[in-house]
Amino acid sequence: MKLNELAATKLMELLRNKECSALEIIEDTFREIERKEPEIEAFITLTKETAFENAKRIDEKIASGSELGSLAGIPIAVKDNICTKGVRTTAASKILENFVPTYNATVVEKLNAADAIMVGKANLDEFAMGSSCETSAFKKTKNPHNIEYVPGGSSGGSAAAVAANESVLALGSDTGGSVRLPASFCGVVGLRPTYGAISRYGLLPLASSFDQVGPLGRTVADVELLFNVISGRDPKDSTTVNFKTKNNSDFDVKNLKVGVPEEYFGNFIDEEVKKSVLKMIEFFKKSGAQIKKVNVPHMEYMLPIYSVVLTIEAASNLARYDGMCFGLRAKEFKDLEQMYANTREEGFGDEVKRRIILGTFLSSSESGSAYMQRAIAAKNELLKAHDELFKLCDILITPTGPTQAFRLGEICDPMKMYAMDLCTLAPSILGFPAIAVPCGKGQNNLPIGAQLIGQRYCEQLLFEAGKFFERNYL
Amino acid sequence: MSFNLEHVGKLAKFVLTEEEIKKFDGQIKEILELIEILPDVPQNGENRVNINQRCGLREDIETSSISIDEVLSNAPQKKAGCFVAPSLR
Repeated sequence: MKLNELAATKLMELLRNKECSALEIIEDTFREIERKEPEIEAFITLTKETAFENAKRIDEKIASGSELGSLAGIPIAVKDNICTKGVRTTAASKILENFVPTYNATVVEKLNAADAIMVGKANLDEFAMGSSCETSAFKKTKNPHNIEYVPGGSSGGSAAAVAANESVLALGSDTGGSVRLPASFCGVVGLRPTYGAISRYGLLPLASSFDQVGPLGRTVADVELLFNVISGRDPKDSTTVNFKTKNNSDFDVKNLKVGVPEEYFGNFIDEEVKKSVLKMIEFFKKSGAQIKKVNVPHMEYMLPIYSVVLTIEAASNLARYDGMCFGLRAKEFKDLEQMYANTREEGFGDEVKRRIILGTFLSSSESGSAYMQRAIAAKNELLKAHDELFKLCDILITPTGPTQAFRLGEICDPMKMYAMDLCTLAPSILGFPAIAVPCGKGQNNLPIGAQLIGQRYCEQLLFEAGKFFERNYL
Repeated sequence: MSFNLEHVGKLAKFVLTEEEIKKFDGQIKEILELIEILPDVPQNGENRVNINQRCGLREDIETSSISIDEVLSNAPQKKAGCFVAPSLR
């Protein structure tokens, strides 16, 4: 087995026991990238030269007996909406095609301090708006399990890179399901953390009250390892918290109360997906967990709340792309107003324009209705209902996506694309952690992912339940 | 509620093409219909975002920053240490 195919936890062990070198790990990784990348197209930018330099630096550290960071020598792909000093960061948009940040995102600083090795910047839907990775202005990433299918989005490049062994770990970002859905489509593990658990400083913003950076890996333990490195309070992001995940070192499946919300298993869920997730629930039952059927009231509010808050925040956040201080500036214009308009017209793709226009309208006085207040009131109701739900159970298990991966170009209707997020919206809106874990395969050998949702700050319980499942089921 | 795409497009600083207007109009109206299921609430400020609820601000202490050259490094046009912009009429 090649080194790039191993889990990060295993590689750390080999490296510390001097059974392999960081250089060997990076050599194997780039060999795989060169072999597969022409077909998969997971990356927008590769950072081969610095990756090799870093590998040599880490080997020198090992040789001199210096203390190693907790991700020493581990290859990682970073979604291209996370700022990397001196490395082009495009958000997969023409408007930022040549943008080179002058600073690192806090998560990147933490990766560097932990001696992780960035191999490249991963493709995404433009400004993380999409569920298939097809709205990227530069390329369409393919699903490594079947290249006629999408990898999911928006962190499609991150998930595909990990699934194709082009990286061992990856960072994505999750606004409405953008880590979990591609993880599910590509058969890897992806976490959306509790809101505020991981700094957003240096993450190009989409909707600030939903955006979270999220780790991806091929095992739950790898995702846990990466989460522990990048989480924590950051003075540069006032919404971060002094994060202490509730310890579950005495995890016993027999004490686990699993809620199964009926609303997540309705007609909109593909039969094969339903079957696979129910088999996972059956596994937990046979292992001694208590299974409770529960109800989530007002599921029909999820997409409307999300649409209102996301588009209003996106319209405001993306107003900065005006051709003035950075990014694209249109070549032809007569005056200032035309420079703004021509720049934005040329620089943004359809999905971004659609959402900015909707958000502009919803937040204007002309819309005639207090959409944001209505969305927040509905969100507060849902929050109360979920707090009640978590008095009955420790975690909820649901499908991650309503279907398996779909064919490239299959979904063109925006409403149908938004519906791909139906199962992942609740944690995004309510700030709860959720992890996507592979639970089987369906037609065309495509993976299916289950979603484990926990209460705020209960990441550790999700990790323990996920690891128990991986160890005993797969 | 009256949604006029061309007008909102201008507010959002776009010059939409005929083709885009044709495409976006129906799509956005469909989303607006979906949003209408959200219940009406009294507009008394009770449901406004409370930014103090979860923000932990750092101490207001001066820290190092980036140089002017770095600030200007991504500028589409620059001159004498400044951004160059079209003049206001």
